[in-house]
Parts: sequence; C-alpha cells; structure tokens
Amino acid sequence: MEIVGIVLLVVVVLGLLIFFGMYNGIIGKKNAVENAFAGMDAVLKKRYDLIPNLVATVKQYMGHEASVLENITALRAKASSAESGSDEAVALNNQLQSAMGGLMVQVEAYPELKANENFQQLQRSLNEIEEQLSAARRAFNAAVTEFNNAVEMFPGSVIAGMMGQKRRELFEIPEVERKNVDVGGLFGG
Amino acid sequence: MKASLNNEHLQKLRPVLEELEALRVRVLHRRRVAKWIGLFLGLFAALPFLFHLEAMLWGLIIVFFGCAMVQVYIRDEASRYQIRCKQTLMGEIARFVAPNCRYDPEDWISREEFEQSGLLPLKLHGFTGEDLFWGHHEKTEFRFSECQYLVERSSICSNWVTESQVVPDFKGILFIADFHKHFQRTTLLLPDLGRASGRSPAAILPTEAAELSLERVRLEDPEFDQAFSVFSTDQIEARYLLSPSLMCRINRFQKKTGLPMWIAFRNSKLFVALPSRMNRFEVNLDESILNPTCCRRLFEEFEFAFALIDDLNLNTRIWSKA
Repeated sequence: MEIVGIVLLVVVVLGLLIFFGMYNGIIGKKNAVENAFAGMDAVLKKRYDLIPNLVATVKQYMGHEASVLENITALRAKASSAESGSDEAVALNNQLQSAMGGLMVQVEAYPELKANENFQQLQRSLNEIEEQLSAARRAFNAAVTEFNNAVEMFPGSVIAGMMGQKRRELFEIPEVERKNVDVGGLFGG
Repeated sequence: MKASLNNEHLQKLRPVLEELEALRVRVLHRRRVAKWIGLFLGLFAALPFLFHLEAMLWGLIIVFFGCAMVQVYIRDEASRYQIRCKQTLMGEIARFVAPNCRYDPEDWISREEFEQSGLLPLKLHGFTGEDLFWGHHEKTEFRFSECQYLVERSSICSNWVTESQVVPDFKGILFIADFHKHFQRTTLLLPDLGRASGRSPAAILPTEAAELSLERVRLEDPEFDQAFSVFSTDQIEARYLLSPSLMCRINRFQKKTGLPMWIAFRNSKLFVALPSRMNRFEVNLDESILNPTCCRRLFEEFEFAFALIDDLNLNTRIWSKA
C-alpha cells in the first residue's frame, strides 16, 4: 500500500510540474506576443512623428497637391488616437501607408523637391521606419505562431482552454503592400 | 560596379610582370645551380668515407646536411620571389581594379578588431595572418585578410585525466565591412552544421557573445533557417537586418562559395569569417607569371570581397546611414 501511495504521489507531483511548466510556457508565449505587438506600436509612433516634418517639407514644393497632404495629416491624427491594436487602427494605418506610397510616387513630378537635402533625409528615415515596421510585423507573426502552436497542440490545448487562451490572428499584409515597391527607384538608383 | 581584370589591365601590368618573370627565371636558375653544387659537394665530401664501412655513417650525415643547406637556400630564394610578387603585383592588381583599395602583405586584421564580432573563441592561442586589404568599394568601407588562430581544447584521456591541447581552430578569411543600416544590438549567424539545432547559444558559442542574452531567432525562410542558426539580443532588430532579400542573398553567396560562413552584425559593422583550406594570394614559382591565368587567379582570390559587398547589396544607401 505504501509503495502505491508513493507512486501516486510521484505521479501527482510530476503531473503538477508538467502542468505548471506548460502553464508558464503559455504565459511566456502570450507575453512574447504582447511584447512583439508593443514593438510594432513603437515603430508606428516613430512613423507618426516623422509625418509632420515630411508634410511641412513637401508643402513648400507641392502646393497643387494640398488635398493629398491634408488627407495624410488627417489619417495620421486619426491613426495615432485610435485604440492600439483595434481593427480601426489597423485599417487607418494601412490607409496611411497607402497614402504615403501615393505621395512618394507624386514626388517624382517635382525634381526640385527630390533634390532637396532635407526631403532626401526624411525619405531615408521613412524607408528605415517602413523596414523596421515590416521587421516588427514579422517578429509579431513569429511570436503569434509560437503561441498558436502552444495553445492548439495537445496537451497544451487543454491547459490553454482552462486558461481561456485562444488562437490569435496573424498580421496580414494589406493587398496594396503585396506588390514589391522599388524604394531604390525613388532615388533614381 | 562589377570589379574585373581585363586585357587592358594586363597590358598595363606588363612591365611589372616582365620584371617579376626575370626574377623568377633567375631564382629558378639559382635553384638548379644550388641543387647541382649541393649534390657534387655532398658526394665529394662523402666519398672518402664510403670506402671505410665504419665511417659511412659520417658520410651520410654530411650528405644530409649538404642537402638541408641547399634546401634552406632554395626556400629562401623562393620566399624572396613570393614577397616581391606580393609587394608589387598584388598591390598593382588591387589598385587597378579598385583605386581605393590598399594592400599590405605583412599585416592582417588584428585580434582586437575581430574580437568585436563576438565570434572569436575565448581560449585563443596565437592569432596570426597576412595579406591585409582595406579601402572603399563605392560607398562601403571594408577590411579583410587571411588569418589563422589556435584554441585550447580539453579532452579526457583513457585514464580519466583531462588534458589540454592547443589545436588549429580557424584558417581563412576574416572580413569586416561597414553595414548600410544603423543598429545597436548583436545578431549572429552560425552555420548549422548539425550541432546548433536545439542547443542554447552558450553551448555552441564558446565566445564572449555567449555571455549576452542571445535568443534563437526563427526566420520565415526555411532554406535560410536550415543553413544558419540565428541568435540575437533583439528579435525585431534581427529581422530588420535580415530582410527577406538579404536572407536570399546570403544564401546565394554561401552556395556560391560552398563553404560554411560565420556572420556577425555588431557595432554597426558586418563581420564574416570564411574558412579556407588553401593559402590565398600566393604565386607558384614553377608557373610563369606572364601566364594571364596566374594574374586572373590572384584577382579572383581577392575579388570575392567585392562580390560579397555587391551580392549583399551593401552599397545601397537608401536608409538614414549615408
């Protein structure tokens, strides 16, 4: 009887250890997803900070395109005040990205602006931010994939169900971004 | 701009090549003469001893020493030719192909310089090298040289005693270039030689980088993820550096060389360690220097640095780092 009791105790302790290990693993992966999301937010903040400078520089040369610039300014204001991670924020950021892309194409018609040193520096910074944003999205998707594997695979799925953790959605690239953008071409390179 | 060594370059190199060829012929002639003199002197000195059986050992010793002295002389002459070739020809080739490239045959990337990469082992014994090239290829500053180093390895002998041995660990090219993006953290790419999978960086990196809180970075490119184990102190920055296109380019370059590559992104620089079995940037005394293939081979041996910069697109400066 004593041996059976010891065996049961060992099994229970082992079971508890495995349970807590998996529980902590899921919590760790959930935090990694949140951390990756915060990384995306930090880069988006950088983009919001850059837009007023870019608009101010462009305005001097592109007086006829006032509506484009006003649209970008309005989208920036809405996106920066929208709730982080909400569908509205995602949609606004996608629209903002698309409007910025359109602006960069229109810049081609203004050689003086293209030659402006301040504008070139801002354009370089924008390229950098867009790449950082893309990297942050990839990191977010990698963290979400790890989290989803943990909550959907057995026996993690049982523990995740008890914790109320569900599968999360991956960040999908908007259709307009799927086309390869030749950023180098904007510099005439 | 793709670097190349064309016929026009070879024509301009002609005076240097002819001077070196004359030196090569002289060295070869001296070598032949030295061999014959050595043989005759050895035989002449050993002859009296050959008739006395007990003195034959002395005769053999004298012949042996005669041969050794001739060998030393020949090697000395060959190395003089080698140094002269390096000083004049390699420098000229480098200048022709890339006006901003400089060359010093007797210098190399220092241990302190490459230690920044975090790729060098901790227990390093001896760090030597030769053939340092440095300069700019378009907008990218670079330095590379041949290097080799030894490490101390412990092993358990049959009687359970731990023994330390100093063994060669790396021989090849160490390359450092300015990277075209700003970054602050450390990212390492180790060739996945079947030992890195599933192991912590501390276990596979006996370097000071193992002390950093490196995390495994799983990238989206399965081919790249199979070829390299990526570790970084920042998941987002690692992906910022390793964009999908850069991963493709690294993969292509690695396949082209057919060699395992160690890569580090640290202190705003790109560090590459490329092992090589052969001794690069050397000329063969028995081969005519006027043969165009000789110059082309020398050029190809150092052209890889330009290929690395071009293939990895390091001259594209569309980010805030000018």
